[in-house]
Amino acid sequence: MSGQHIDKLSFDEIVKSVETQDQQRTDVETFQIAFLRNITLDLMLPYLKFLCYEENFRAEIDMGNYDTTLQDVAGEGSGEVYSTKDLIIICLHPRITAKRIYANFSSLNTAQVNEEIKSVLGYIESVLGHLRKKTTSPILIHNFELPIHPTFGILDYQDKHKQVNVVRRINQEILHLVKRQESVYIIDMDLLQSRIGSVHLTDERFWHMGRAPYSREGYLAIAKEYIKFIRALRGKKKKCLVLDCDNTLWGGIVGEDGLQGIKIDQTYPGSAYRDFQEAILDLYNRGVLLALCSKNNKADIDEVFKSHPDMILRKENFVTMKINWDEKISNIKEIANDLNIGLESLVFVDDNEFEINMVKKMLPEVSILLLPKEPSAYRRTLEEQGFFDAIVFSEEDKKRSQMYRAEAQRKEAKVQFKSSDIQDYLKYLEMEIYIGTADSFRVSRISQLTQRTNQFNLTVKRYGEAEITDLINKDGCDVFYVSLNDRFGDSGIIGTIIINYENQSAFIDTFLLSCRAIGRGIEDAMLKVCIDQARQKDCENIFGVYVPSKRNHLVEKFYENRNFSKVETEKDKVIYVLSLSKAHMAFPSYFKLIKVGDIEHLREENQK
Amino acid sequence: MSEDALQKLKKIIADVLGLDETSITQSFSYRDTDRWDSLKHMEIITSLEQNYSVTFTVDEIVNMTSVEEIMRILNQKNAEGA
Repeated sequence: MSGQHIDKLSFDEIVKSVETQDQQRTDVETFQIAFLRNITLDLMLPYLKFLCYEENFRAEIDMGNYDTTLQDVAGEGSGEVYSTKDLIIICLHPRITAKRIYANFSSLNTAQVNEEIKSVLGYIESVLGHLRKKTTSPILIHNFELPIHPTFGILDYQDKHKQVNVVRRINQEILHLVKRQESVYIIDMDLLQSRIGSVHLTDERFWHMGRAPYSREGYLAIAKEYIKFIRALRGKKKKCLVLDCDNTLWGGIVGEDGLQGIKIDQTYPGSAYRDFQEAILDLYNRGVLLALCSKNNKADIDEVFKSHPDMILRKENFVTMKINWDEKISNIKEIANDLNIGLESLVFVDDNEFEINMVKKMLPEVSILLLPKEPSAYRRTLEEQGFFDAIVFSEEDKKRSQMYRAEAQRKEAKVQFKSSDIQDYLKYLEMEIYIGTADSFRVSRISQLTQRTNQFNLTVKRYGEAEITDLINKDGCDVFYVSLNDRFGDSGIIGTIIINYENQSAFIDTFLLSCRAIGRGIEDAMLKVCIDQARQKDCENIFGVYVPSKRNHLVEKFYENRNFSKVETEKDKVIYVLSLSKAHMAFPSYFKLIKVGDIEHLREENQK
Repeated sequence: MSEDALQKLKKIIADVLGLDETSITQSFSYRDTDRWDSLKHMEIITSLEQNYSVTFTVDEIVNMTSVEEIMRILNQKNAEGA
């Protein structure tokens, strides 16, 4: 890895770094991207490739032809080109796609403007439509940056039929088009232009020389937007924000300045810290887990949360707090362990460069964020990273923090049981699980689980929403979801099973369990359902596959331990089979209730 | 034109085009290789602008088709290190 932040590198250095990594990092996972475009974008590629390597992907990019978008997607045989891509990016520049609106607006009458809008949207709709017929891959599409000096100047803003408002309308309509398709997402070029400024985004010289509209800075900003999507699509988004306290959540040092002395109120600098806390609260509401990691006396910190009238964040917002004088390294490891998430899901925030460098060196998997000297820049520093950006926001996300807190309570309860009494503990939890056939309401959560689950995931197959929908509708395929509820709360959908049936055999394509549901024997109930289903479909054998990954060592012996026998060991997978005539499996008795479709199991027995 | 400055420029062009530095002479131009296409030209310009902290006009960019021309334009602009 280059180790250097992209903003600090020159274009040459980035090109060189990409060349070196192309040669050296041949082992990393590839990510295939195809572009459909009517502009020159080539100078963006080094930035995109560099950022992909930072996320441990090798980007393989198919630039497509210049300005042949519709022919490319509508053409015979192009299906194969697009069906194998991990991502397709449609970049239709407004100055070409909506040329008359951008260049000759003043010469158009209202009818002509409407005609033009219709034709632009019709074109985009047809590109998306053709593409969706050929591939289920996720698609990104640029919307239009507003003309910054609209034709009629200040009059333009007053009139919804003038240029700037017409483009705003087109952007709204593009959003509607996108919403009608699955797995199509907007790159908000207009917002990007507002963020960095048109002067920084564009370079008119290259536009006139070769239809290359953007500047170096622009290409970098666009590549950074793409990366947020790539991270989200590959389930690499971060889950937990680990925060320091002094000079991070408030100004000053509570241990020295005291409760009254710290800066957190309505005037600067306290107001900047409040602003930062508001941003963190937003993240909490989006389902990001918050943890504290501070070298302090616990009583001092408790006092701030309890008694300071201007604190935005409350103690309840934090899923865990490590307040002690130990090294932050060990505390961060403990946080990951407590929450049962990987170190790569953590973002560590501190104002202290020493602590940041220490974490960077000792725990390279953890993402770090060094706060700037100026507290009024804290909020922006955090927000511009997009660490926690996701393309779906599910019910589970809303409840996540609550669920992790419930998990902490479970762990506490578990301590009261001896390790030999694990069954008693599981019984005490009063678990109820429901295993149901997936429908359209569950698609986004199921897709999310396939993308995020790393540990208890037998095949680690990642599916987009459109792919899950296809599987649900496919003959000879079952998609099940598993939801869990216990005495500490509702965990929502925590598991997924995908089974294919062919020639009297059942093949378990996907078998996974969210990390917060591991160690509770749910997998045995799930496997029993697989076996029952296979029997119902008159199968003779059921096949399971284990595909080793860096993180799923936990389930290496899953099938082996359940009487499956090894059929074949290939380089990247092990195939197991169980003859259904020999399969004897009962639902584990520690559940309070197991409901499969409409059929309830265990409830009566347990009530006896 | 100093030898150092010429060497620096040759290296930049060689790097972008993926050619050996020794193959870049003072008279080297886009006609001498098929690698120097319009996309590479943009890359060369991008790289020069960052390396010399200058901004070229479109006319200049269009004319910068050989090592000599580039050097002449850089000197004209009093670019640092050129």
